[in-house]
Amino acid sequence: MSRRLPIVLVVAILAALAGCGGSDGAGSGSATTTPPPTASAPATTTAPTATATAAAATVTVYFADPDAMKLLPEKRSLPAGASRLRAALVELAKGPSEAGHQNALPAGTTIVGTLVHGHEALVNLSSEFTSGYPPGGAAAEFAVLAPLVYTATAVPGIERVRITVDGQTPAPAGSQYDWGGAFSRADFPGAVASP
Amino acid sequence: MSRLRLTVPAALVALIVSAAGAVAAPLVAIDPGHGGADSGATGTLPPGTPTGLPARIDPDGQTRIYEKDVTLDIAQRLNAYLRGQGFPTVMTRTTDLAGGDVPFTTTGADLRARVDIANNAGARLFVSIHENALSATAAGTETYHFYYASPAARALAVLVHRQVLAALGLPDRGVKAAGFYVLKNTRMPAILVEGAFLTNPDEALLLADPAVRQRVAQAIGTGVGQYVAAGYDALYGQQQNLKPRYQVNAGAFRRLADARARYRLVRRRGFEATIRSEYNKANRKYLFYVVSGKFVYVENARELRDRLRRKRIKANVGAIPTRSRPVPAAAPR
Repeated sequence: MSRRLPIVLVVAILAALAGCGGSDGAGSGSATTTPPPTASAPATTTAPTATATAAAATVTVYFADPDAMKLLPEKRSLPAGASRLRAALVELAKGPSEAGHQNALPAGTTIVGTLVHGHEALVNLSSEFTSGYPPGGAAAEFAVLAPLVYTATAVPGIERVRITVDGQTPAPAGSQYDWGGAFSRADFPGAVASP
Repeated sequence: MSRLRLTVPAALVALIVSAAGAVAAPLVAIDPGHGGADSGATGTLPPGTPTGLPARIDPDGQTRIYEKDVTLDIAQRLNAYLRGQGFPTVMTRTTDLAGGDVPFTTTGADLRARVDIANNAGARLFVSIHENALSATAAGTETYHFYYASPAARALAVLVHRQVLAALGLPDRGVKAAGFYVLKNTRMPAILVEGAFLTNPDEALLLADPAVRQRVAQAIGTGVGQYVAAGYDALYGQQQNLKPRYQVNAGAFRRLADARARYRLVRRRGFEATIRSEYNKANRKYLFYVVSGKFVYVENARELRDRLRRKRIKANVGAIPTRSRPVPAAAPR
């Protein structure tokens, strides 16, 4: 049993991710923070895939078109040594750089932490995500949620995305999705515009 | 919009109808989106616009229109229309409250209540009524089904969408798929209609007209009637996806021997267990899960997890791995 995967420690890491919300620089407009390493987090717990960390010079970030009918990609350069997942989400939080692309995350949302376990990414966001979440409308939800899911799953090895806000499962009023589970591209099939 | 291709041969439909004689009209679940503290999307109307809906004036004195009021009004009109056509119906809410006519608490509880009402009533098709939101210029009608549902859900979406498009005369945003909770967790073919954009002043004004809402209700009802007449209900009613999506793991291990030891412990303490393996290509290692149950609903999974924990067995709830394989619980002799 000595080599048993300590799944309970994943929960400890999630709590640690939640705990770093206060130091994420949201007030300074920073779009990112790196969760501090935890003593109780052996490398096997988070099991980051080799492809999920610095392996390419660019990441793909998605934004909705003005009518929220399709997602449009933008290539962004990857900072040296950065996690691809984290870098991609930070770029998503910064917003689009091309005309005709809609902002995805509600204003002020920051990436509090990220974690990869197997094929699933855990993305911990700041509270602005919930407070700025649209109160209704499939198109409005698509414009926020689909870019987040497609951007995270554009990172090789990641198939699903579980979203938390300050370490807790969010429950945005008016949403039509199940926030207790992980999102995948199957929740928004065919969302990417054909080239 | 994708064109509807009837996958039921006409001869087969005729056979079904003739064999059944006078086919009983199926129970239709009508789901008015949002309600209570969840107003849904909102729009702005010219001052004094008559709506036939509860008056909504914001603190700045502007006349507003709430999605929850529009959806309930259309749902009640649809309910009356379908009953007039001989369809039995069940509504997930009948007043300005959340699903089940209870005060709104959380999104999850609200959506779950709506699904439970339809599932427990044995509804054979489910229509969720919504209005859209995005910007002042976004416009049009769209209708959703769930990608992994039965072909009937898509057929219902196409037929209803076609009618609502004609009733409203707005741009066609198409028939789409999305993993909305009510579409994924209902046991019957289910659709979600987004009639028009409340954030678009012209479309908000359209929905403020009771006559337009009546047209939308009748359009949805007509689509439902076409769906039943085409024979889809006879073939697909109650065959919606019930694929389990959550599993309760009573441990996950790198070594198969450890998984087998946990398997024996779980069984000794009175629980079901199987061992499944998942191969992680990235690190080229197997992970062995001791799975004690698989569930459609996460609440049921959490209940088993808690029972395991009370028996001092570590357990958690996770998504079912997409490519796991069963592993023999005993080592070969």
